[in-house]
Amino acid sequence: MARAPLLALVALVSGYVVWSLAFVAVYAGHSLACIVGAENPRAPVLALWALHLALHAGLLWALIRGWRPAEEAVEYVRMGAIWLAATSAVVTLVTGAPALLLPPCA
Amino acid sequence: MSFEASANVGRRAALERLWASAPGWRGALTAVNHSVVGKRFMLTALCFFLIGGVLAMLIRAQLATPESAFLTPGAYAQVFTMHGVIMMFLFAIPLIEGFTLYILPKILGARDLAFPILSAFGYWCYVFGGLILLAALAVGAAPDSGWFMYAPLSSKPYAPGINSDIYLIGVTFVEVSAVCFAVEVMTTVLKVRADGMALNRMPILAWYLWVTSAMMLFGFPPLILGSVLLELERAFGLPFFDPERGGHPLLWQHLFWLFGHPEVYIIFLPAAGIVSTLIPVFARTALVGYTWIVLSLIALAFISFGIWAHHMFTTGIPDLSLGFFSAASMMVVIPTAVQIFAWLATLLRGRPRLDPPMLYIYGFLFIFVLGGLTGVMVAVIPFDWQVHDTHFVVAHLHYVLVGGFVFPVLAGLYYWLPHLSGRRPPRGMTSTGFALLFLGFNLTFLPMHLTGLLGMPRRVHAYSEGLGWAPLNLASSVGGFILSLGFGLVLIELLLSLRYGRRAQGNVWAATTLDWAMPIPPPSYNFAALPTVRDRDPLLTEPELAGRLSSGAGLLAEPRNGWRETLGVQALSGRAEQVLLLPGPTWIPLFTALSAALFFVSFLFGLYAFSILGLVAIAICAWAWAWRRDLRGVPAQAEMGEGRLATLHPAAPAPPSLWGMTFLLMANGVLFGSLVFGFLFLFVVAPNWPPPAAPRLDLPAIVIAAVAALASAATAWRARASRPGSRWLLASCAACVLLALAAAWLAFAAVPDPRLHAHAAASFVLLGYAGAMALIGAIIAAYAWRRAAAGYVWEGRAVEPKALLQWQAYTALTALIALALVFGMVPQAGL
Repeated sequence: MARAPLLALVALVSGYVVWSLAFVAVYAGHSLACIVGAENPRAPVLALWALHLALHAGLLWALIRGWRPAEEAVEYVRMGAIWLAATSAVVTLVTGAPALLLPPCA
Repeated sequence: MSFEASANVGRRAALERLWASAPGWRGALTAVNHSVVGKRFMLTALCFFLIGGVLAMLIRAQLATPESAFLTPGAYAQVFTMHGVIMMFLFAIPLIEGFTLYILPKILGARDLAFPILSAFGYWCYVFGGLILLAALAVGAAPDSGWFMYAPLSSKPYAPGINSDIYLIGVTFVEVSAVCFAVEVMTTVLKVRADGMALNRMPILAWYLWVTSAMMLFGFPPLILGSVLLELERAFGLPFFDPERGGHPLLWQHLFWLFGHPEVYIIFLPAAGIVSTLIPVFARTALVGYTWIVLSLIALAFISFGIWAHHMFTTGIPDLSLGFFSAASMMVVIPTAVQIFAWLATLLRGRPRLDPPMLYIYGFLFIFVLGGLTGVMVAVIPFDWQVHDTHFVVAHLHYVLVGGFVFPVLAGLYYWLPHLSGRRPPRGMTSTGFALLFLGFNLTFLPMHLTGLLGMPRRVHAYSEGLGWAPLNLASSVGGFILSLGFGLVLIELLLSLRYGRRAQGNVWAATTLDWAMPIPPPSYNFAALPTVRDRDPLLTEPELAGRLSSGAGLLAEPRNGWRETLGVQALSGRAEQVLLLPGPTWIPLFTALSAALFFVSFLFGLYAFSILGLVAIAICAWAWAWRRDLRGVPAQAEMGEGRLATLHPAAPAPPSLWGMTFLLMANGVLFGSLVFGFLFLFVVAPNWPPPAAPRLDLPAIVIAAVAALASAATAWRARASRPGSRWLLASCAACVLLALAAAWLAFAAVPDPRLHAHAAASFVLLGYAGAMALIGAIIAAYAWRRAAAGYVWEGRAVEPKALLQWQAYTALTALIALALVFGMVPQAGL
């Protein structure tokens, strides 16, 4: 299969793929930490959250840095990828924020 | 008639002969044309809607007065369950499927979909699955545990009859259709468009349908898996949901809502696509915020998968986890709001006409926004705790689904009626029908917010006098009957219009999309010549396009060699690069679906030998399906018109079939991922772990299975890189057979009795999955070898080996994961 279109489409959704990973990791990590009776269950959750925020930042940087003038459709997809990467970082920030406020295993 | 006009008539007649279905009953059973299949889907879905509506009226008749004895508790349980099942699985989703199958090639400027046989097969699966459910309703054995079929209510001890099995088998059969549809649409949108239709020039509706199909691809497999596991528990005693034996009922809820919440958006998005299509037409201006809508759709598709547990706020999940889901539920509002503001801005910028479709659009905006607001309310955890499982939630979901789906669909029906039938709706009745629907709907469901807040639970068949619920329930029931009258009036109007409506010609609404660049009702081939698109609104910049295409000015205008041709494009730029040769009418979809029906029905009645027969029949049909004789010896390239050459798809490096295989494997991967999730969930959360006995570490068999898995992929890779017909294809087949045998040996000899504990059951299913994938891999490898030997594969045309490599790589990966989970994660006391 021609790889270029597939890669462009993967890049388009990459921001929200990172969000999905963050959501699953934070939710599962939190459940696991509570079940195994971790001493400070909030710490691994916050660490996972921060890790994924860093991933978002890295992805956004890579997408912006990789910008090259190209044909209209390719530019459209690349621009979309940047916007989606930016908004997904905000979504990760918001969906992980309850970890700062709520008791971890209540 | 001039020579040119006569040539055009001759050309169109030749195209019609080529693309039309066969006449008579034979044609009815063998049709694969997207217009025919799409219309059938829609018509069948509307029939199911009428049945679901009658059931709704029975519910309202029962609840109209306190302590009613109109229906027995058992009958009421069947009625409300089947109302939900029919409306969700047999009406809403299939209607979307039918609409998409009908309209998608037309708005994309193509003659058909990427895989016409797959659509036809999906239709028969839908019909047969639906018939299983309907037959059960007719004999009083319909599912009665709610449309969500929660375990343990649906488990054998609490639902000993066949009712739950009917749901699990029937719905799974229908879901097969949905997955076929998703693969079809994902591939078609990316590969089968008009020349020049870059992604950013696609009609907005195509984006909606593409995102919806992607959601279906990822949303339906968890439900299919959940249904398989629950049926395995019910039929063979594998205890996935039984806490006594290491199972957990919440696993069902997770799997169900992993499907169930995205399902709401799967239903809403195509309807929103209709709104985004219609508003610019009737506001007489371009859609505001096209790109913002596209981006918000993608964001919404992802976020909607992160809120499944907001249906589980009262199940005892820790507060912090609830916080994650509540926050995600709030975030999903934003992309939805982007669309609503884009629609409002378009209306403000334009000069809206109040044609019949717009009545329903305004109705949609009012009702859906109210439903969205109550959605925000139930996303707030303490509020949800108060109203969970009350009529407030019933009101909310109907505001979202009827407001967000039925009203836009009716708008679309009035809009595309001339397209479907060649006639306009008669004037006069539309406003009355709309008024009855709008008033009836609000009278039915607005009071339910109050009955819910007053504490009336869902799914109770009767309630006592003196609770303050009676007047509100009576109002809801009266509203329900007004709503029915409204639907009746709309139906009569539509039927009358088919007979007495004014004939419609051309671009009735002055729309700008390609579906109106063809004669209406459309011919079987859609376009006499295929357009080249240079703009997002082709009919705005080129109003005479329809005439030009009709006269043969465009691509692939000359029928040749008896080929059904349409264009394949580069996925991003939309540049035409392939000529796709599509199949004609065939019995294969019907026979394959009948074979599947044999499998499902015999499984339902415990006739497992016949089930195996059904599987063998499916394999034979699939072989015949893929074996297209007409592709033998086709040249590598052909002219597509205007002096341009294109590769014929069998020789193309990235034909649609490879994209289809990729998407199919994605769906398969989600199913496997859900199975892994289930295994880990039980491992971590379920009570009564560790199991009494762990799987025996049978090292020789494990090593043989792992080596065979790697060999199946390695040999497929060599086969792809080597000359066709090589022994590597046979070697890949042999490796798969070995893997299947090793997996079967491990499942039966190394894993303890799967009925004793959920760990053994999950291990058994993981190994069974690996074995099943290997068996299918063996069949694909054998098929590729036969194709190569018969001369269909050569150096520049290697679709089969490439597809085989995809499958074998997937099989190897999942087999290794399964082995690692079963034999590498042995549960021990303390975890």
